[in-house]
Amino acid sequence: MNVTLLLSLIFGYYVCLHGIYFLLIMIGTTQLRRYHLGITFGEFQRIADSPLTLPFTVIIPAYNEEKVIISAVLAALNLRYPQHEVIVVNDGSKDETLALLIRHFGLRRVHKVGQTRFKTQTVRGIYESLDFPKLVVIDKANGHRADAINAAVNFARYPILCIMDADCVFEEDALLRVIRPFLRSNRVIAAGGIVRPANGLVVENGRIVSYGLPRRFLPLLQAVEYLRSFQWSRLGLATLNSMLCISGAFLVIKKDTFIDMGGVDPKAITDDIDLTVRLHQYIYDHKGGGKRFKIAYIPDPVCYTEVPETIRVHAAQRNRWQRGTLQTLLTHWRMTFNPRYGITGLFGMPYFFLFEAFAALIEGLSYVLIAVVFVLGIATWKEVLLFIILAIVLGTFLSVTAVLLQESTRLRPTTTRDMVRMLLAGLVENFGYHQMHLLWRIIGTFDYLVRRRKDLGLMERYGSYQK
Amino acid sequence: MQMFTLIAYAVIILTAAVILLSAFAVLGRYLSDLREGRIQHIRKRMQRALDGCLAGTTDLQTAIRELEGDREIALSVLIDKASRLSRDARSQLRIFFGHFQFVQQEITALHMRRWPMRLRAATRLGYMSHEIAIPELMKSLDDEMLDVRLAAAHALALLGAVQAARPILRSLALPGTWPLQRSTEILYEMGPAVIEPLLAFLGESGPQASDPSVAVAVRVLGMLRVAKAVPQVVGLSRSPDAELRLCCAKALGQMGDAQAVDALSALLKDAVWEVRSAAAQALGRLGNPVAIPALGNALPDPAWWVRFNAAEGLYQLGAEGQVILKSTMVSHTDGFARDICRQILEEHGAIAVREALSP
Repeated sequence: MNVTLLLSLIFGYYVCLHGIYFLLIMIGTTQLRRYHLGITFGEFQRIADSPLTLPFTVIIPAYNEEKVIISAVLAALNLRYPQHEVIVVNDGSKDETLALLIRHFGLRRVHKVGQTRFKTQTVRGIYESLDFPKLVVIDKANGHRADAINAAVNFARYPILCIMDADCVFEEDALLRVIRPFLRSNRVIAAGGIVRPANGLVVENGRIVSYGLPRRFLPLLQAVEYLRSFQWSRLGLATLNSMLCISGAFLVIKKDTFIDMGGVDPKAITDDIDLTVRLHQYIYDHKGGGKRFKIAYIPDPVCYTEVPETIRVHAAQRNRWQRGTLQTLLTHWRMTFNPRYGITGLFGMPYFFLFEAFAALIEGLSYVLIAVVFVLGIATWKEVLLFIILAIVLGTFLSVTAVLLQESTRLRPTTTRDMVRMLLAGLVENFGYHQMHLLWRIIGTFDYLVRRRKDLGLMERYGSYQK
Repeated sequence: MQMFTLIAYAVIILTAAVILLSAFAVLGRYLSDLREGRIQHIRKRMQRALDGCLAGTTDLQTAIRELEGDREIALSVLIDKASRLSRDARSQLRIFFGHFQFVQQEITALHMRRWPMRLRAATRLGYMSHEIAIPELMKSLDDEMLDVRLAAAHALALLGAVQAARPILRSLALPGTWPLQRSTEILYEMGPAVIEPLLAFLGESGPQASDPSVAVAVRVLGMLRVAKAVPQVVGLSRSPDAELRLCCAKALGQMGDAQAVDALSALLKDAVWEVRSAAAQALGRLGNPVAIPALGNALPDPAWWVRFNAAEGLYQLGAEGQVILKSTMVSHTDGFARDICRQILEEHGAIAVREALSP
């Protein structure tokens, strides 16, 4: 094969990848501006005060979460909202999760009738508290996160479900913000929001008392990555009906839709990606009154989640995400380039295949290839430099732009010092961290395609944000 | 390859520009933090002066002098203060809004081309307690943007403009949750003064009406607990429109009149489960023992919410209802009915929980 052609393909790939990313960031910025313009003075207060606001069921699946569970449940109970219940599912934890919940919230075992829409692992008991009437705890045999969510939906009373992780902390008015698109349009069936690293926050009794950036370097780099990906790129993708991953850390969905879709697939490695892709499929397969349903992406109800602080856990997490993405996209490959699925099939699916699922493999190969052709003397130093600029410097440009754009939002870093740290992290993120991330994803690809690995892998909680 | 070289040059220039911009952004941030501090300081002084004036410890001229320091901050402080006060207390701020000609400024903004400006103006005018804005706000009820119409309607409610009730129903009661919910909230905010216009509106609509505005009027009358609206709402509860029947069921429960029991018992047999559920809940609220047989019959309903609300309603009806719950729990042929009765009785502590208290 002609080396010039090969290099052109590689360069073309990077230009497309970063070019689309840049466009998505720009679309995201416009959307955020429009979103803020539409919010009127006192709007969320009115939603909070209204007796007509739709009630929520907050679902927290928990497996070995003793370090963070109390804080997560308190945060969910403290959410400012006129009517909501919190269902915690102890998914066969081997640690003290259930005992801690019973002790802290004074739970008592009750007889409760579920709607048994989904078959799940055996429910061993239901617990409620006289002191916290909004709280329900389901104790069941282990069956993975998806199974726990399905079990909770069997007992959910309210029409809107908010699924969150046990290591998440919400801003107090997150539900008020996330309900807004559901109230504004009957066609909205699901919504996702921004997720940010919780490392660096100070949380007391489930309430965020101080905001800050992660102190350690690895979580700080992830903060920049989350910012670029969640705040800007996903907002852009959502505008194009191509956001194929609403984070499981913060997913809101109408209960009717969830039931109609058959719930979450317990066999999915990453149930959130699987559910989002199926939601898109559902939207095109079911037209509500001739009009298509919608998925909303709200740029400011902030959910904070703990990000890995060690390379070992980071590697395991990214490996799992990579395997989950591959599994979902390969399962639903028929949607790709399928005009029946509109822009999701024609842009979203191919984008996720090329620039998410197989990006690591393509980028990894390009690094190896450029090194080989340079060593063999086939490529000149000028071409290597060109590669570095298009593959790395362009990425740096995007990261720094994402940090700068954040300055125009209410979510900007609280101090000038933190802003400088974010900018520096944005500058160096593409030199080392990005390549390490690629390696984890390449291993994930190998694990899924060759080793057929489907387990959830290592997960570790720190609870470092709790005061 | 030449094209990529050009792109690379562009990338280098852009990256350098962004890095340079970052330096400016840091400087800008530092300066904006300083400015923010100054604004907060001015705001606090203005708030103190305003609070003092409202409490009678500072004279009006001193407060006005303080607010004259920065018109923009003054407007923000005044709106913020007005939003925290009741309608009567808010009228004390009229003089400030008038003195600084903020009312005129916002009325002019109501006619601007950019909708966010119109939206902001409509929102602010509500807090200014100047009736002069009412005709202009009424015109804004026909604005092309729904958000502006909603803001104008809310402003009219804050101003207590009862004459706007019908125009609000006309322009805002559109299909869809958001306009219906907002127009209901807005009319409810007008308080008891809105009852007569709404009753007259229902009277003109007739029993077969299925307009969303009728559903809004019914909901508002329910929330205001207007018992004299019961006969009209009972008539509407036979409407072919399920949404209206649902609103009627909820409203009849809130109105608290025993006349509604028969109509609600009939709604317990509705084809739509949401209507049956609302009817069961309403019967529980009414607390009339006449409803016990109907609620008892709803216990084996196929919809969980209907069973739950029927059982909860029976519990709320006191000893007589609890007897039905206990007997159903023991001897009913339907397992779901037995289960829901057990759940409700256990939740209220009326019977002991079977299982142990720890895992």
